[in-house]
Amino acid sequence: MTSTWPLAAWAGWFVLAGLALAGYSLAAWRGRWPWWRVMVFAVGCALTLLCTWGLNNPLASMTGYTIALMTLGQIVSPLLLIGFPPQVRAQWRAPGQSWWSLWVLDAWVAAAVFIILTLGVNLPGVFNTALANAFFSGPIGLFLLLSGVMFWAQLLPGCTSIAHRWIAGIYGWLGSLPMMIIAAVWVWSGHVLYTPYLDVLCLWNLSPLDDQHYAGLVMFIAGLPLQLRAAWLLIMPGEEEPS
Amino acid sequence: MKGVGIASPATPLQPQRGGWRDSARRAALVSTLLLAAVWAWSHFQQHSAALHGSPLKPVPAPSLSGFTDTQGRAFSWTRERGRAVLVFFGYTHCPDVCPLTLAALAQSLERLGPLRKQVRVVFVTLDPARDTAPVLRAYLDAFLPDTIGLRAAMPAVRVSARQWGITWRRVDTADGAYWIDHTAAVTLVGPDGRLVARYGYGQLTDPSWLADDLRTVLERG
Repeated sequence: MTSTWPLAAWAGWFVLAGLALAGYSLAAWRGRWPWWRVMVFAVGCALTLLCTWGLNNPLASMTGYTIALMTLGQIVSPLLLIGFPPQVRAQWRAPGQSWWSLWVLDAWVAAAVFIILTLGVNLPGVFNTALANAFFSGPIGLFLLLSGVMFWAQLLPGCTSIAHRWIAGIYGWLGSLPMMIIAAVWVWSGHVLYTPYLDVLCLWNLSPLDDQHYAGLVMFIAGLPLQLRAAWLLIMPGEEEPS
Repeated sequence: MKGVGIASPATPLQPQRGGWRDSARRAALVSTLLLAAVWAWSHFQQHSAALHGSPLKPVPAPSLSGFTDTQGRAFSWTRERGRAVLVFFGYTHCPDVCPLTLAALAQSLERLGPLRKQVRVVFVTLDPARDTAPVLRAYLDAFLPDTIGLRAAMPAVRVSARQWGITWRRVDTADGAYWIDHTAAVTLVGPDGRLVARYGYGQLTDPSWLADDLRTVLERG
């Protein structure tokens, strides 16, 4: 069993972030994209790398692990998308565009992927895999990032396939529910749900149950941007995102 | 579409290609594949990850060479093949953790029914000076009479404790006695003689957890 990441996992994560940033920088330079979008994308990449702190040793702290997973899924994913101007995002869905957008930018597919992964990775049978072997926290984090990008793409101008703002608002709110339910279970459960945490000293000297409660609180907070965006789409008139 | 569609006027909404029926079909296909993947992930993973204990690398259990049981026989893993074995390092003068752990093990084993005879507890003393064979036998008989009590000379105890990941230190008291601070972990060894999982005291508080894990390990062979 590996309690922390092997060197290959660290290298893979940094190479992936580096390649994404390099590819984006080239496109931004060619397209003369606004500097603030470049900054937003760079912050997304930096947060991705910071998340490795919580991902590389999931057994050390459930709160730390949840911070990393939620940051990837709910903070990094919209930042990466906002890094692209709406016109560029719209090109992803243009007729004749490559086949991937038909699947990745489809609202139904995105909802299915987001909800199934949100629920799936928190099942003890999957969650405990990363506790048994830290190597698995890498792909789990990557899956949550990708599903977050797919779902958030439906809530942003350009890349969405949802025609009406109010539908997009309801879509976003419904999509956030599984996460809120899991957060509620973690916060209000009187039992430690992932028993490997009972055999370790948690960071910050938290008891395993307190650690679980804090992890639930983190999930609640991480779900707020999605809920706020959903509420914004529901109640505010159409906005024009600056290009 | 201004003010209605989520897409801004600067980024006109592209029509949904194939209509909602195609989207629903794609979503159904992706959902099926993802659900199958999640099921396979949780089902076919290394089985120790699904247990309540903390998984261990499935290497052969350290040998416990140099140890003898309370009848004076040398311990051998070969004799325990086919059984799940719970190994615990402690000492009979322990005021709290050892008796609580043995009592917790007894509660879990009670729940096993017919599978109970396929489980063995091995208690390794960290205090061979005071834990003579008769003392050890009498102590274990009070909790689990079929427990194997093992003792060895102190150098062998030190080597073995290190191999099993047990840390301990002797603490002398003012009255000339001493106690031993030690790791209170129970290690589960599978019927194939390989390490499966480790249980801290917190993981033994619910007797059904260890009982469920033992059933899983024995049923999977």
